[in-house]
Amino acid sequence: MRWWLVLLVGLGLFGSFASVALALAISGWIDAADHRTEGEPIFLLWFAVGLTIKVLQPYLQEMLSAKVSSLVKQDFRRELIGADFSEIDTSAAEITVLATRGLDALDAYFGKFLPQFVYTLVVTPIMVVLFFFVDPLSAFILIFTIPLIPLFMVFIGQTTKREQDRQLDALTKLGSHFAEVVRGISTLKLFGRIEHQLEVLNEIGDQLRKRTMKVLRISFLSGFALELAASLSVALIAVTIGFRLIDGLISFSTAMFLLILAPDAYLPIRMIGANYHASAEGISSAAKVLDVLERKSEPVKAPPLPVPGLEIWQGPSGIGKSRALERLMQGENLSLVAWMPQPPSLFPGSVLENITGGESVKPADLAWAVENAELQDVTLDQTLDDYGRGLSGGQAQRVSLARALYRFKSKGLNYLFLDEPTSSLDREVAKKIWTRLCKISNKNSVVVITHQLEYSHLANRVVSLES
Amino acid sequence: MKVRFLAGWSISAIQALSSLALLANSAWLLSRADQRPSIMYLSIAVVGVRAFALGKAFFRYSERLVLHDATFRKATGLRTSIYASLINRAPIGLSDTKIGSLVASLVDDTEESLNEDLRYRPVLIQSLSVTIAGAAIYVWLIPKFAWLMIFVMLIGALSTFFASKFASKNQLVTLNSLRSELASTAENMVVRNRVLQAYGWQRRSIDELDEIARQVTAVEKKLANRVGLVQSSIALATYLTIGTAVLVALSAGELLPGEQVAVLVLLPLGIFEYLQGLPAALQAKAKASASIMRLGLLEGAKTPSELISEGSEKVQEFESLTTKKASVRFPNGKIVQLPDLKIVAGESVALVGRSGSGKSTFASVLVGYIQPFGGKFSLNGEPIASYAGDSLREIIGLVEQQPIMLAGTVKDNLLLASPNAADAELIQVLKDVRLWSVLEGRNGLATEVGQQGSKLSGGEVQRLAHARNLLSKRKLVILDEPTSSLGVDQATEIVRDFLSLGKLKGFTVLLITHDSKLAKLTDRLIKF
Repeated sequence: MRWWLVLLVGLGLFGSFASVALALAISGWIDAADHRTEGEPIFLLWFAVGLTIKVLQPYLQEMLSAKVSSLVKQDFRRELIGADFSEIDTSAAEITVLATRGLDALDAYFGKFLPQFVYTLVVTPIMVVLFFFVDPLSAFILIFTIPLIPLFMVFIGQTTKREQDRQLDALTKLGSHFAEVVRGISTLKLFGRIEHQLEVLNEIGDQLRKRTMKVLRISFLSGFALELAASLSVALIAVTIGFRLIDGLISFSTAMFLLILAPDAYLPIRMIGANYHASAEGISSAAKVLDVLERKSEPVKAPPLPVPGLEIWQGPSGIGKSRALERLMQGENLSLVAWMPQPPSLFPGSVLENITGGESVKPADLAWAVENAELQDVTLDQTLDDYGRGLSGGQAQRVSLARALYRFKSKGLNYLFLDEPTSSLDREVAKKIWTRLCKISNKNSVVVITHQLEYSHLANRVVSLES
Repeated sequence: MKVRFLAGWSISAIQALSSLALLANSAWLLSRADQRPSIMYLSIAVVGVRAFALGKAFFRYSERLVLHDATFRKATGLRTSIYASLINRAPIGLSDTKIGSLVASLVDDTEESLNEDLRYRPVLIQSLSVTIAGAAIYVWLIPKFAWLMIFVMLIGALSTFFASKFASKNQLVTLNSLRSELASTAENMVVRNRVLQAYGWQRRSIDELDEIARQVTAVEKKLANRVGLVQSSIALATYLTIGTAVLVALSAGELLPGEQVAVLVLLPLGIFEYLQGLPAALQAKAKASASIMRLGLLEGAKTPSELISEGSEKVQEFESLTTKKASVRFPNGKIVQLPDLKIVAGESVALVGRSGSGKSTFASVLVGYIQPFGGKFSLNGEPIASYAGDSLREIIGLVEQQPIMLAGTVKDNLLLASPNAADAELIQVLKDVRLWSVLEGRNGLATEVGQQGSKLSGGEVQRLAHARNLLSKRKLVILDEPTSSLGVDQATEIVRDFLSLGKLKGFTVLLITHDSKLAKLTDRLIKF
């Protein structure tokens, strides 16, 4: 068991101890006041100890939970982001959600649910034993009623699960409609369909409400049952104590003590119910995080690299040319190749930072890269926004090319892999770039994927990929 | 709407009161039992205990249902009205707002903003009603000491309220913005993961991420610190109040009948059980306020005058378009010069110029997205500003740089252009743009286009966009940079098809491009 779990559970136990001390003191005092006597001085000690712990415990618990969840999250986040996803079919959006919201769900799981769960397992039997020594009948009531709570939880959970799953699909679909109509607002406007969309939005909102309420009616029922089970159980203890008081079978101070403490005996297991939703989310996201990390690909052997010269790869779109090019860069090869991906993939920051990665600049190599990528019209200290935008499609493509060329030159590499380097460029500019690529390919291996057939005659080798 | 909320809030007050009554009743039962009361009193008390326990759970259940229902109703209205407020500004007035954050506002912020009604008000009402009920019981039982009890209880309640308020202040806003920074940095890294690896830049990016995460942790720690302090102060207030009650009970002596002592001492336990909900409620309110502010900015933003067309005339036909020294002023003050040209019905014209030279802006004026600022810009001999925007869009169509497809089927996307078209008509336009032969092999009109058209190729999306414009029978169709989502060769083939359709069906085509080879396909070329 981890140290923090022990600490958190220990803190919880301290809290329960304080509840017992306070119940002792308060019931003693009520008894004293009822019989017109002074309370015993020992009550004051119990009260003071209980009060001190009750005041300190929540503070320490919050601080410790926060510490625990940040520790856990940091480890997971680093591993997730650092993993190589190229060979697995998890979408970037999914990983991002996992690395942010998914990890936040772990927060509740590790910081709150897990300690609560272990604490409940430890404290509930202790409470039952305590009750047994004070009043066996109440202890038996606890033994019979406490299991009712998880039983209800499981029973209702099972019946709601199917209903929830059925609704979940519909909910996601309806939810994504909002994204669609916002994204398509200009198109809807062009075709004069926007007024109609307002009606659709209203209608969908209404459907969403009806479906959600259907689910909620059942899932709130579990809260209802839990509340009822706990309340009625406490009431059962109160009533049995009351009748025994009439017959003089139990002392008043004991009765009061039991009444004050009874809700505390049910509290831990009720808290599990309250945290159940957070925990379910946490468990499923923990499972997903681990799943993604386990799917990380094994290290692979580096494939042979092509000989010097200009090699053009052609073929219909969608047959995996880009993927094949990336495979060439596996293993050791990654550090030998300068690669330009098909989408520009620029980062927020200045154009210069995008080219050099923020490392110290080698001016001669930079000038060479700018010239060969025909980037003279772009100011290098221009900044790109959060999405790496701020340039036209053609400019972004040339920045991406310059980035590959700068790496090629400054690291003294011999392999240059370019994926559609000139698809968004004007013909004149593209022609200049191709001439320069020919020159570079005299001594180095240059592989270019392109749809533009007019440059095929420049190549030393043309590879047609069919399937 | 208001009625539903009021009903919900009343139920939550009743719920809190029955919980308090349950406690008082149990305490009374025990104290009274000690004195062997008549069996009738006892039966009433026992029934009371059960009834209040049942009532508490039942009212809690109905409260949650009623309030959630009311909240969803309000959310629907809110989303629709916010969306409506975006219409006039779209797309130019929204270009500096990220679509992602708009969607987040529409979905998350509307939901979050309603938490004020759902998670804050009920708790506040419950706290108030149990505190008042508690005070009333004190006044009834021990008028002489009631003021002391009420004073102590009030101090406890007020300090809880203000401490919670303090804990929820500011930090949440910081935390949210840091979290979204963390999310976008992480997204950037995941999306460009391959590039980071290939360039050996991964280490630095992870450091950057850790730095933001450290800031998040620092704020979270501060928040936890405050939440912990608040919970501690609630515990302190609870037991100090109980302590005072004990002192009162012990010193009241003969003034207080024995069976009431228990009620007196145990009441604070019941009251503070509800006050404990305040920190979470105030945190929900702080989040809700931030969301309400963001929504208010969105909904209340005035449409810049440049984007509002004041014209009301209807236009039926496209005859001619003439511009001279026309310009456009954007809401941010930037002025863009537009090309000088003259187009008459039936011809096809290419407008060629470098990117960023104002070609797309020209298209925006034509479809009424933005008003011309100076110079001459006339349609059919009349200033374009004299026509209503809707009316312009009825005769002028635009195929955007990246045509937008809504998730759904090919048919759904075509029906946008003409809601009542028969299937035969849809198939005909698909044949016209040479897309039917491909779709026939799949699911025909029922072929799914996928999220953002992802199940179609770039060329198929372009052809489908052309089909949409064909179906809506626009008189002038603008093709804006077809090469931005397609290769030049593919674009050439598709544009050539569309131009010959224009000749065949008699509509005018304006091709906007930076590619001079593509431009040569049209009748006439205007350099800009």
